[in-house]
Order: sequence, then structure tokens, then C-alpha cells
Amino acid sequence: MSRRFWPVLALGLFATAAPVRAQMPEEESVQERMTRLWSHIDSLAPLVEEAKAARDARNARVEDVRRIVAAESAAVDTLAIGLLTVITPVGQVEVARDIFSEVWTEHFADIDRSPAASDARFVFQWSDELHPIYVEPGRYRAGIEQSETVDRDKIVQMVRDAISTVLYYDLTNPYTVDGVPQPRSLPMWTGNNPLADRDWADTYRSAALTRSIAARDCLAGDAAACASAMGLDVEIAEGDPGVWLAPVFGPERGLPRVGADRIATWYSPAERRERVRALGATAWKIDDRQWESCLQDADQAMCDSVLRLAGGLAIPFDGEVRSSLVAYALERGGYGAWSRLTLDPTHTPTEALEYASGVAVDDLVDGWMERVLEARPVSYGSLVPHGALTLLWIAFFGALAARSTRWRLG
Amino acid sequence: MYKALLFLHWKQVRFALVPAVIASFGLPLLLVSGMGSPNGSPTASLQAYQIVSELNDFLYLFPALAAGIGAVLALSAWNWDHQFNHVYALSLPVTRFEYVLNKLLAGFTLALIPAAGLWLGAHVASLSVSLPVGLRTYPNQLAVRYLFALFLMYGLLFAFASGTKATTVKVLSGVVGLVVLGTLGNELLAGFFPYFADTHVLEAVMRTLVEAPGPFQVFTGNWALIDV
Repeated sequence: MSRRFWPVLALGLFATAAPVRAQMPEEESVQERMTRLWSHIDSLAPLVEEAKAARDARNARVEDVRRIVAAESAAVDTLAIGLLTVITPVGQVEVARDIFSEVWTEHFADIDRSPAASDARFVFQWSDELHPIYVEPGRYRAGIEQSETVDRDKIVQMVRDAISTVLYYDLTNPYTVDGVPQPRSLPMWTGNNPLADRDWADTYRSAALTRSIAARDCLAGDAAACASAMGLDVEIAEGDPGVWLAPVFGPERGLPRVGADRIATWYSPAERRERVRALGATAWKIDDRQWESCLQDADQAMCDSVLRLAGGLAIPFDGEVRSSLVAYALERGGYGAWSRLTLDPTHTPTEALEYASGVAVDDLVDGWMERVLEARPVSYGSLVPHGALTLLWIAFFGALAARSTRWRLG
Repeated sequence: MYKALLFLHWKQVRFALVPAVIASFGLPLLLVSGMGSPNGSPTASLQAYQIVSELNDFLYLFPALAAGIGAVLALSAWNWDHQFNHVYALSLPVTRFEYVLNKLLAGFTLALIPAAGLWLGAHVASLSVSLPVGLRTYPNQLAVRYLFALFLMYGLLFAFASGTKATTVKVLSGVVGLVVLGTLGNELLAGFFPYFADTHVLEAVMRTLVEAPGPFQVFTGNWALIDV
């Protein structure tokens, strides 16, 4: 290649780039850019409307197809069971009625009103041949559609899960103030569905394994400690908990906003250090100095600060335990407790629990504590029958040994 | 008769029983070491969750140890007979049933030694930890389960070892065949019978064996020394 090639190429590139550089505007701040883009946002409105119309037209066509296919596929019947509306093929009306009635009577008979359940449609099929079943748009479709190889107990469990999931929407649906959706404080506090299938022995286990002095005092019979570990009176920052979301939304989402005195009643100094250790040295917003100050110098104020900054602060009892208090309140409240619990979305958790159960929250927590302590699981409870069974098997193996053909005598 | 067979079995297995007893005694102590007072904290009741979860990671060692010791006891029970072509046993004025029963009981008696070792070790381990409210130790229950597991494995392999090689080969071939056919044949069967699309034969057999009233249910229950 010619020795003059490279200088010529460099000169050419510079000459090409120079006008481009000259055309670039002065560096624009983020705020200015946002303002400029915001001023043009109206230009997007027609495009958005056009996209919405196209989407609606497509959805309408899909609905038409679904309705036609379903109408040609199988004849269905609609049943009203409790507050539920069940759609099922004509041939399965009896089995659907049996299962839904059994589940409703056994677990949900105290529920007198549920907008979510009234609005939903439960599609039930338990057959080797599953048909498309149409549910009008805008309604929640809860499908229990399984082949005949699934046994009845599992189907009953699925029906129960489907109903409790639908009912939970009564609690979680946001309400609006001046057209703006507002989150409800009760579901933010409970975290779990209180109507879900509950094993109180598991609740005891969760409580016993909670890393908190308040939880341990609770299990020792201190009802005030139970109330404290429940964090009923604690304000919770809006959003889903999850430290992994911290870099995007901030660490406090879904976590309690509490002062140092409350933290001290929840966690011992050693437990706070353990929580910080569990966060890891690379946790969001923690620097080495804070980390060392908490863990090595045992600076409690620094530990508390780190816990708040990095999202390591949580109400001691988890959602499993907290939702068990709601379940207990519903049990105490009896018929109509669910509608009282969900009626006023502005209620705080304490107000909602008192209104639903009909008793003061202190009495409620007292009763809950007794209920949990009674439910302490019996470890090795099945050892005696299992032991007897093992001895039977040993006798069987012994008999096999005695029948060996190695010996021809005896 | 029983005493003679016990003595004979003891002579066969005594050297193997020494490490078995040490392991049985030491395992509970090993598992709880460092628990109950983490980081030298005076508040010994700090980490209930940690105690239970850390212990759970090693609970399989108890049934594994029981199975191992049971196997050693069972195989050693018939070793002498096989070695001398059953001449001694055939020369005795007893029926096969009496001989097997006495031999079985002798093995059970020897199985009590490692079980006692575990019982003692579990008690010492229980006394050595300070647990938070809500947790308890279960040394007696653990020792009883351990004993049952020992007995079961001993009984099973005792039956195997008492038979001929042909019987052992047939049974083992059956097990291997079940594994192979249960894995490969299931998809084939699913093509003809919808039932097999949702039901895996091998899994179903395994479940039947390890869940009550199956023979191995004692191995799959709770083996926790410390629990709620």
C-alpha cells in the first residue's frame, strides 16, 4: 500500500466528521430533555388511540372465534353454588355440584358477600375430553380443567384453591380516591391469602423458626410480644417486598417504617448483626465502612441504619404467620366476617381485624396465641404405628429367610 | 442355641461394631457442635431457624448409618455358614425355622449396641445445647427410629443372605429390570393407555415402598434430633 495512503485517509475522515460535530447541539441536561420530550407527547396520542382501536378489534375477533368454537363444541350448564357461578359440560353437572357444594359448605359457608366471587366464572371439567368453554369477556375465569386420571382429592383441593384465590381479590383489589387507585393496607400487611388451605402446625413451625426475640417471647406465652412481632401498628411502604428491586424502586418497598425503639423490641443486637450479615457486603447502598462498623465494632446504630438503607428490616412474623391471625379473626367473626373484613378499604389492619372478628385486637391476639400453641406439631407422633408396621415387615423378611431352599432338612 | 449363635455372631462382627458404635454415639454430637451459642453470644437462644435448617442438611446421615450397620450385621450373620457350607447348622438337632429365628434374634441383640450408642450420644448432645423457646430435643424418639431402621435393614438383608446366590441374582435382576422397564416402558405404555401419561410406574413403586405401609417408611420419616 502506498505510503501516502494513511495520511490521506485520516484527512478524509476528519473532513467528513467536522460538519457532523458542528451540527451537534449544545449538551442538553436530563431535565431539559425531559421537558422537551414532554412538550411533544401530544403528538403520540393519535398513534396510541390507533393502536388501542386495533387491539380492541383484534380482541373482539378472538372473542367471536372463542364463542363460536365453544358453542359448537359442547353443551354447557351454569350452576349457582353459594356465591359462585360454575360453568360445566352438561354431562358433569352432578359431579361439579357435588364437589363445589362440598368445598363451599366445608370452607367458605361463612362468606355472605363477595364481589370478586360473584364476578368470576368457575369453569369445571374433569374428563379425558376437555372442551373449549366460553366465558364472557371482562369476567375472571377460574378454570379447574383436569383429565380423569387426576384423583378426586386433588380436584377438591384445586377447587378450594381456585375459590380462595378468587375471594382474595376482595381484599387486594385497590380502591380509588378521586380516580386514583389506592392500595389497601391490610393485604400489604398480611402478604398471604388468609383463606388458603391452612395447617396450624405449619404456622407454629414458622413462628418457632422466626429469628426474633419478640417471636420467642410470643411462643413463651407473652401476648404483647405476639402483637409486637405481628407489626400490626406498623406503616408499610407501598410495593412488593424484595431486596432485588431495591436498585430500581428503593429498598423500603413493602418493608416497615419503624424507629430504633421498635427495632430493639423486635431483634436483639446479635440478631440485627446477623440480618446485616445476611444482606451481604455488596448490598445496595452499603459501603465497607458501614459494614465493618456494624459487624466488627458492634455499632448498633450503624446496624439499624444499614438495615433500613439496604432493605433488611422486616416485620418478624412472616406472611404465613400474619395471615393466620386474619384467618383466626374470620373464624372468630363467623358468618359475615369476610365482608366486614373487606368492606372498608381504608381500614388499617387493626381496625379491619377488630371489625371482622367483633373483638378487641388484644383479645384476638390472645386467642390466636393459644390456638397456635395448641397446634404445636407432634414430632415423631406416628412412630408407634410405623414401628408396629416395621416389625411386621421384619417378621415377613424373617419368614422368607426361614423358607430358604438351601436346607432340605427340617 | 440362642447364646451359641449370639456368641458366634459376636465373634464375627465385633471389630466392625466398634466403629459402628463410635459413629452412632458421635454423630449426634457432631451435628450439634457449635449450635445453641453462635458466635460465643451469651444469648444462646439466637437462631432457631439456623439450628433446625443446619441440622436438616445432615439428617440423612442417621438412616444411612443405620442402613450401613444393619447391612454389616446381616451379611456377617450368614458369613460363617456360607464359608463352611452349612455343615455346622445341618449337624444341629433343630429345624431350619428355629435356627433362623435364633440367628435373627442374635442379630437384633447385637443391633441394640449401636442403637444404645446413638441413644447415649443423642442425650449428651441434647444436654450440650441451649435451645430457643419453641424448639425441643428428641433423643429417645430418634434412638427408637434408629433401632427400627437397623432392625429393618438387618431383617431384609438377612433374608437375602440366607438364600442362594440364584435367589439373590433373581431379585436383583428384578429390581434392575423394574428400573429399566419402568423408565423406558412408561412412555410406550402411555401411547396405549392414557393412565400412564400421568402416572410413572417407577415413581409409583418407589412411593409405595417408602410411604406407609411400605417397608421403608421408617427411613423417610422425621429424623430430627432438634425440632419444634
